[in-house]
Amino acid sequence: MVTTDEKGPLTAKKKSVIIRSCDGDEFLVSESAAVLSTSLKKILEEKEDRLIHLSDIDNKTLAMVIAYLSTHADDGLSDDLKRSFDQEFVSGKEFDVLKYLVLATDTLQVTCLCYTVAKKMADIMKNKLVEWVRREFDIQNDYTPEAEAEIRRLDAWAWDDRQLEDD
Amino acid sequence: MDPQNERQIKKTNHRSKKNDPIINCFDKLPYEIGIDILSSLPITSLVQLSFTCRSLNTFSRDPHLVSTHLSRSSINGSECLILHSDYPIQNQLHFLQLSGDNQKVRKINIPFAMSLPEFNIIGSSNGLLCLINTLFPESIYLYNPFTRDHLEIPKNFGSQDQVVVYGFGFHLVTNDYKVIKITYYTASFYHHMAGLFRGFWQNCGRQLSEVQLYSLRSNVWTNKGVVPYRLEKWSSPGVLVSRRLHWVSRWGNYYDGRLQRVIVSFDLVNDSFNVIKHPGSNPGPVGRWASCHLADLNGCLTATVPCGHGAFSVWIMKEYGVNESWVNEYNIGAYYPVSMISGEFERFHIWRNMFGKKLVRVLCVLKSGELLLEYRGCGLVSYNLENGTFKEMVYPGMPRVYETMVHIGSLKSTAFPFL
Repeated sequence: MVTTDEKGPLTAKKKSVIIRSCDGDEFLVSESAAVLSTSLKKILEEKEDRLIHLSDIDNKTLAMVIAYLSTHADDGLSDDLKRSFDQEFVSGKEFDVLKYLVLATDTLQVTCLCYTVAKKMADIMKNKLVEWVRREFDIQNDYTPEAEAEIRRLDAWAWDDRQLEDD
Repeated sequence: MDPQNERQIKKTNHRSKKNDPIINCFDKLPYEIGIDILSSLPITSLVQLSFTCRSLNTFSRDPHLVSTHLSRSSINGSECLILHSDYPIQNQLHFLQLSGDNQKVRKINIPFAMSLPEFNIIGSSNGLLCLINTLFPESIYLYNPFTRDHLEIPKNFGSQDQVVVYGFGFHLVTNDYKVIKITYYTASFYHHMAGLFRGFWQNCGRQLSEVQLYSLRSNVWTNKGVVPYRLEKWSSPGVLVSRRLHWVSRWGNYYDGRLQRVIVSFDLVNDSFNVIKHPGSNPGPVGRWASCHLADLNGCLTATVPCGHGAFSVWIMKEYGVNESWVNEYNIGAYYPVSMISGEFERFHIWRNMFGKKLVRVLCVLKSGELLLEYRGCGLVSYNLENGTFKEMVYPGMPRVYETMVHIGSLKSTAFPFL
């Protein structure tokens, strides 16, 4: 917990913090939600400043993370409800959105969300072809054509079915 | 150490690597998230991914990723089957991913096929297969079919007239791969004689066996003396459960005050033999000769014991090493795959069943909860435990006759197996 002071948790709940995204939008977040992020918690412990500026998270992503934090800080919700919220939270999201989300959760150190998102990304990546991965992660193919032909020859099984999903 | 600290440390470790020429191609993603994502992919996807670019190829061999991937795959049941087929072409290796869509049997190249024209698989453990040359059995290879890495272990020569029982396994405590070779130098007539003279038989076993153990870590074979049990040739290779390899002994060991078969285990950590009670052995002539075969079912030692007419019972040792914890979990009725009825295997089936040529093997529990069975030479069958129905599993690319080995696909390197 933030403090060992008896009054600590009580006062923490009442307080709120303003978080500003890189696009300049500001979000009002209760302190109990903010401290679920290890980075925000550290910042709040270090200084009294109630305004935190996050220079590398855009407002769309930040809004999602804050929605997640607020739900998880809500004592009125059971663990089961929170779990199903987590599933709902990542389902149907574009791979691109998840990429930004996973980076934001890492910056903010929201470990459990980070792993939920990473798992969802892995689920999407299953059975995807090399070309798909290159496109989605913006990876330059640095194999020479000869080297690639050699890999294709040696591990022919990995290349033999082009009917793998490629969307 | 709390997970947070650990995470911090890993992060710092990663950052210190930033100056290395090899960087993670997921460079926008932090190291441990990259590991987290890649380690939950099935081996086929991981291999695909490793072909995207050179740095991702290097990252896919990261020891931390390899070990995380291995442990995740064994927990979440993403095993694959290695099919060793002899027909229509001899000595081909294939694999089949057991979960996920688009299941298909795919052929694997063996880069050292020239030096291993005929082989048997004597084990799969921690991402590596152990193959033995059946023409020159002193030639043994460790092979990772997904990286094509391979390594021939030092030769261990033996004399010609012998029965050899093998085992292969890895254990985390010693962080070592070991191959065990148990040789019985007795001439074949001794085996028959021995059944008639019990005490004499046991002495034979004692004097004429030789245990040799290879450790990859030390890269030498060491002599571990003798084994006081006569193991069945058909129970080779040993089955790895709970850090020990297991074989079935011949009938004729005193256990619980009567002569019976026992299960002999070899501990990979302290290199010692032990005995476990054989479950549900029937009294009478059938029980005496019928073979049970061993398997690893969700980490529990499992024995399938034939009960005549093609039916068999599955016994599971719920608590390892506790004889009283053997439970007769399932009784599975007779089933004859179509290929068996129509094919050339029909006339052998009763013999095979009664006298120990493993007719049915339990391979694993599928994600659907069904039991995967292998009817020797006839195919894969899934058995629904709830309604007792059988279903033959047919996949595109499946060879005609094959033997299977449950394997966990990994990018473990044979060159740096201990990292």
